[in-house]
Amino acid sequence: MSGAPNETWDAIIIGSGPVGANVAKTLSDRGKRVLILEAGRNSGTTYEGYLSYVDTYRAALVKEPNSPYPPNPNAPSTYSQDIHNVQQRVPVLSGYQVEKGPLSFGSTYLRSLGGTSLHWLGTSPRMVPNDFRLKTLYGVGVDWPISYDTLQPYYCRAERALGVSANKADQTHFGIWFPEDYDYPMERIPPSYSDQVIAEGTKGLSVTFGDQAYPVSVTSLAQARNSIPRGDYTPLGAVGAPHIGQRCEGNASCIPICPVQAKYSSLKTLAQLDRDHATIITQAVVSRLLINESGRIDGVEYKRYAAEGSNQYTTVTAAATIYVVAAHAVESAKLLLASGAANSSDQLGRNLMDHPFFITWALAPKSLGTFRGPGQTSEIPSFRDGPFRNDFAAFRVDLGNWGWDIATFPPNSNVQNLLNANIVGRKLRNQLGDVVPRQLRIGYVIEQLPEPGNRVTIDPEFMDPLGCYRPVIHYNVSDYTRAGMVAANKVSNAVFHSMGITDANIFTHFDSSSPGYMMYRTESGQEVPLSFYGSGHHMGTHRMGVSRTDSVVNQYQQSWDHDNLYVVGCGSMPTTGSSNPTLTAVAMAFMAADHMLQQLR
Amino acid sequence: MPITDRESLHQHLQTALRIEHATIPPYLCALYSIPDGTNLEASAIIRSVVMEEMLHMTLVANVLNAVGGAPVVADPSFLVAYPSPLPHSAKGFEVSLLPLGEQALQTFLEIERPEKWGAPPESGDYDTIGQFYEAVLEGMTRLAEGPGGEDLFNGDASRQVPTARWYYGGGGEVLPVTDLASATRAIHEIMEQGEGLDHTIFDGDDHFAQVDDIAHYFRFNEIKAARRYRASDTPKSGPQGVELPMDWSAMYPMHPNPKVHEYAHQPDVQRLMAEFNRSYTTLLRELQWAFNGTPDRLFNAVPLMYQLRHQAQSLMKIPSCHGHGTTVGPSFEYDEG
Repeated sequence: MSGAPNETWDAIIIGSGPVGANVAKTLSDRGKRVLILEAGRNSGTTYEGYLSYVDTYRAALVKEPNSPYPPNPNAPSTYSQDIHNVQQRVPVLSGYQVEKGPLSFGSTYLRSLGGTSLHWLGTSPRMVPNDFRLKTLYGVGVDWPISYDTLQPYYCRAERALGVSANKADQTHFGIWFPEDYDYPMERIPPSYSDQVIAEGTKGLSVTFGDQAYPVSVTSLAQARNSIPRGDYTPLGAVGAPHIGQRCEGNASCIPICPVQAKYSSLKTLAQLDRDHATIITQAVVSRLLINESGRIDGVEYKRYAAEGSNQYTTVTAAATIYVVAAHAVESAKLLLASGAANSSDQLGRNLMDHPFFITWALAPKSLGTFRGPGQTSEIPSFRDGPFRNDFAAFRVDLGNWGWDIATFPPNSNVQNLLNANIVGRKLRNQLGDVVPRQLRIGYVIEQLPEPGNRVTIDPEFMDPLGCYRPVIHYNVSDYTRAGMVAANKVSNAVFHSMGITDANIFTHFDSSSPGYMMYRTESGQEVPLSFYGSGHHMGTHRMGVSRTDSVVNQYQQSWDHDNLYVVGCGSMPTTGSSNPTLTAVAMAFMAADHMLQQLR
Repeated sequence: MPITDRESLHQHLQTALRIEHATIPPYLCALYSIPDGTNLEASAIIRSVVMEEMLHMTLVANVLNAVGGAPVVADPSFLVAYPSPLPHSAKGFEVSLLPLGEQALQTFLEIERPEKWGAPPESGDYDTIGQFYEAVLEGMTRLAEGPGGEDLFNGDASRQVPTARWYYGGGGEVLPVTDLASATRAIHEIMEQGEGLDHTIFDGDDHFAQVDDIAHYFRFNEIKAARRYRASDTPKSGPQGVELPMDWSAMYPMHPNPKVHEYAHQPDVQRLMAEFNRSYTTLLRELQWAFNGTPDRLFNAVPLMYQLRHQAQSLMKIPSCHGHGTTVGPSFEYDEG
C-alpha cells in the first residue's frame, strides 16, 4: 500500500497523536485499511532517532515543552518563547499562532509524528461525574450529551491503551467508580518524599468556601507512565528498544521528553499498528476536505513536502469511506474552517478552552527532595467538585516535584542570582544545596467555561510557508475562572501555613509583563492581580452536543453535517472539568471508533 | 564430584549461583567503561547480557529454593577476587575487571563459549558452563526420578521470585519453580541464552515468549567483529550483516582489577572506592533477603543498580596510581561498612 492517489481506504485519519493513533489501531486491528496523514516529521520511530531529540533537549538553552523538536517551517508549531503579553502588542505575530487577545492563549502543541504526546506530562485522571452536568447542577456552562457512566467502559480501555499507573482505591473521588473486577494496568507510581511531607503537614486541614468546609487530602495521581504491572499487562518500553523504559526511572524531564520512554507517547501505539492494514504518511499537511454536492466528504487534499527546509510540495488527493479529523483541537477546527465543512451550527472554532494553570510557590522549612521523579506524583483532589461551582471554577491541585520549575526556572535562575551577588565556589554550591531542595511549587488546574468569543479563526492575511492558514486565536478568561484562581490562592495559603511555611517564605507574585497577567475585581470590590500559564490543554473547538443547532458533532463525534466525517479529540469536549483531557479524549475516541466500525460494516 | 543426594545438589546449585554472579562484575566494568552517548549498540548489547545474567541468578535461586536449599549471596566467600578463574573452571583462564576492548571481549567469549557437540556433562571442574549445567540437570533428574524423588521439590513456594513483578528490562522472564519440569525449563533457559540452542545462533524461544535474541557468545562476537549477525548466518560463517559502529577509543581507560588497598596513599579515592563497594555489598544483601523468603526486597535492588553505575563511572574518570593514562574503577570487593 503506497498511498497512491487511486487507492481507496476504509478510513483516512488526519493526525497521529494519541487520539488518531488509537482510532487507527482500533480500526486496523479489525482488518480495516487505514491511512494516517501526519503534517509533521517522522520523529522518533527509531531508538537512535528518539535519542537525538533527547540530545537536542539537553543542549537547548530554554527548556520549554517543544525544545527537543526543531522548528519545522512547513508544519509549524508554537514555541513558548513566542507567547507574549497581548496587552503590550496586538496582535502577537511572533509565533505560529496569531494572538488577537485580549489575553494570550498560553498553551503550545506539537505537529510531529506522535503529536503533543511527545511532550506531555502524562497526567491521566478521569473526569468526575458532575463534570458532565454543569448546567443542570450549577447553572453554568453546558451539559454533555453523555454521562460518566456512558464513558466509563471506554475509560478502562483508554487506561490500558495508554498504560496508566494507579490504584483504583485512590481514584474514587466525587463519585468516580470502576467495575468491581477492574484495576489499572499498573500499580501507582510511588508518592514522592515531597508528597509525604505535604500530606503530613496538611493532616486535618480543611478550607471553607461559603458555609462548607472542604477537607484537604493528598492522593496519588493517575499517570500514563510505566510501573509494576498487574495481571497480564506487559509495560511497553521504548520504541525500537523494548527492554528500555519498562519502569519510570526518575529522570525528571517528562516535559518535554522522557529519555527512556517510560512515559506514554502515541509512538508506542503507532509502532504496534498492523502494517498490512495501516499506512502512515508523514510530512503530509492536509489542507482541505473535499465535499460533494450531497454533503458527503469524498476526499482529502494534502500537501506532501519532501524537505522541511524547502516549501516545495506536491498536492495529493486521497479518498476513503470515512474521514477522521484528529489533528488536535486547534488544527482540526482550522482545517474544517478552511474546508467550509461541519459548521452549520456556527460553533466550529468557538468555545476554545484551556485549563488556566495558576501557580503558587514557597520555600519549605526542610528539604523536599526536589527534582526526583515525574513532575507530579500526587494531587489534592478536594476541589474538583462542590457547591462552590455555582460561583467559581473547580480546580485540581498538582503538587510539583521539580522545585519552582516554571515560576523561576531553577536551578539556572538560582545560579544566576548567586553569581550576580558574587557568590561562587563552595559557597555557591552550599546555597544551591540549601535552597533548591526546599522549593515547592503548587499548580492549580482550573476549569474554564465555554464562551463563543473564545475561538480559533482563519484569515488569509496569516498564512504559513506552504500556503496553509495559521490559527488566529481570540481568547479571554472569565470572572468565573478568575474567581477560581482567587479561591485557589486561598487554598494555597492554607496549605503553606499548615506546613509551617510563613508568609515571608511564600514567593508567589505576578509580573505585569507576563502573558497571563490580568486583574480581577473581587466580590468585595477589591482589585487583585492574577496570572496564569497554559496547561497545554486545548478543548471545545468542535464540541459535541444533543443538537445540530449548538454543537459540531454528536456523542460519537460524528459531524452533524457530514455523515462520513468524524472530528475526534479534546475539541469535542463541551466543558473541561479539571482533569487533564488526554485520557478523556482517548476514551471518547474509542467510543467513536466503535461507531465507525459499525459504519464500515 | 557427581550429584548423589540433595545436599550435593544444593552445593552444585550454589556453585552455579556463584558462577553466574562471577561474570557480572567483569561485564559491568566493560559496560560502565562506555561513556554516555558513545557506542550505543555495544552498550545495549552488553547491558542485555548483564540483564540476562541477573535473570540466571534469579532462576538458579528459584531452583535452589524449590529443592529446599537456601541461596547465599551476601558473604565474602561468595565473591571472586579478580583476576581469577571462574569458580570450578577446569580451564584456568583468568577473568579480570577490564574496560571494553579486545582483551575484555576475548575473555567474555571464553566465558560464554558453547560446548562442543557431544561434550560430556562435567559436575566437577568443567570445560564450559554448559557442561556444568548438563551435570546439574542430569543429577537433579536422577534424584527426582529415584527413591524419595517425589519429595525433592519440597521448597516453600513463597520463597519463589515471581514472574514479571520485579525482573524487567531484559530478554526473558523469571520462572517460579515448583517441580522437575519447571526446574528443567529454568536451567534450559540459562543454557540457551548463554550458548545458543543446537548450535544455531539464536536462543530457543519455545519456552518463553520474547523478542528473538542471539545467545551471549554471539552477541560478544558481534561487538568484536563490529558487525551484526543476519538470520541466515551460522557460527561458522560469523557475522555477515550490517556494520556495528564502534568507537574503541572512547572507553574510560580503567586500569585492570582495581583494589582498594592500592589507594591507601590517596584517602579521597579510597573513600570513593569504599562507597562503591558498600553500595555493591548492600545490593548483595538485598538479593540475599530477596532469595530467602522476601522477594519484595528486589524493590530496593533497583535504585542500587543506578547508584552503582554513577559511582563506577565517577571512579573511572579519576587517574589511577599506575600511570600510563589509566584510571581508577570499581573493585567489587565485599565491604560491610
